[in-house]
Amino acid sequence: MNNQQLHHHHDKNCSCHGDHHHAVPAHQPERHQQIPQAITVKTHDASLVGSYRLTIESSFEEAVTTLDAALTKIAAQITELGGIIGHIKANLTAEGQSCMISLTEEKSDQHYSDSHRCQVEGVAIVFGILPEQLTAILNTVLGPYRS
Amino acid sequence: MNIIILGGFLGSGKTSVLLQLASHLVGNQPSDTTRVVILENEIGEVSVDDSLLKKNGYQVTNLFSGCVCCTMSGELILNLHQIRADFNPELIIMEATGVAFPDNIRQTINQSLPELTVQVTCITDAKRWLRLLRPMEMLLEGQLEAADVILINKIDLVDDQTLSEVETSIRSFNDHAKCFRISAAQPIDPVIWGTISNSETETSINE
Repeated sequence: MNNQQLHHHHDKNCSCHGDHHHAVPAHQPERHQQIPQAITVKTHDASLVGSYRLTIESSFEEAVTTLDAALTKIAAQITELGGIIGHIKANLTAEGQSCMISLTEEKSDQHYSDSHRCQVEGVAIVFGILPEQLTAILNTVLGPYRS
Repeated sequence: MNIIILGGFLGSGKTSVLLQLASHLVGNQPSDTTRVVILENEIGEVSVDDSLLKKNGYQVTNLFSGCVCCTMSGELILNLHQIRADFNPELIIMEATGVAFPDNIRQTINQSLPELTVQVTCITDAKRWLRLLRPMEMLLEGQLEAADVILINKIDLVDDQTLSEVETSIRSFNDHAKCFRISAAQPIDPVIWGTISNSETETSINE
């Protein structure tokens, strides 16, 4: 599936303010108050939006390394499928410490604490692969850390 | 109350630019909500960037799990009314999602709140531009073509020839915007902030 197939009516002149996009299941206006499931994938125009909320049972330092490796693996698998990475990012927090890991290609940042339980919230926004493929990648790589 | 919309593709550096712009405008008083309030729009079901902004002390209103250029345009207007009622800041800096068309957002605001001045600044990623151009051309063009200011970011990561190619390509989409080369990893020239903030906004902010 290429981008041309994924992309439809939404362009610069789109006037979808509650109109045709809402008639398409992929464009149901999501409620931002809801608590997301551990791993979800939705489509928005040509983009796939994967969201994940996880817990990593390790020290903050180890969690940063684990998460960085996981996000890098996700990026590699998307690229292998011919997809395009928009942005993959996650916020890792534990007892006042936090670290944002962000990938468009590769980038990481690290902080440390003595915590042994770290919370992760993040998104993977990609193009050019199927929703099922992104779902499978996220579940395979991040599944072990589901909340 | 004026609005600056920061748009541009995913990973182009919008949040980094936002932090520097906000810091330039409010200095060491990030919590002064009479001056600047940040409106953050994220498309994921979880919010990632707002925690970084809040950690820096800013008042942040977050709209996530959708894009205000289309599916959440109604929520955008409601939140702008709420920000005005709660804080009435001199300036709202709004970070759009990386898949938004900023001019659609401006049109939505102009229709509902015509008294507000809305300026669009788009950030582009010099390193990834040529790679993204073919598959993402429709989105990139739509994001850029009505921008008032274009910031070509991450210039430290490309050579001069590539940068020249990138700028020429960007200019083919929009040759009327003011265009600057930046690296948001370094302090950005304050002259650029004066351009992004229109003269009226800049004057009132600096008073």
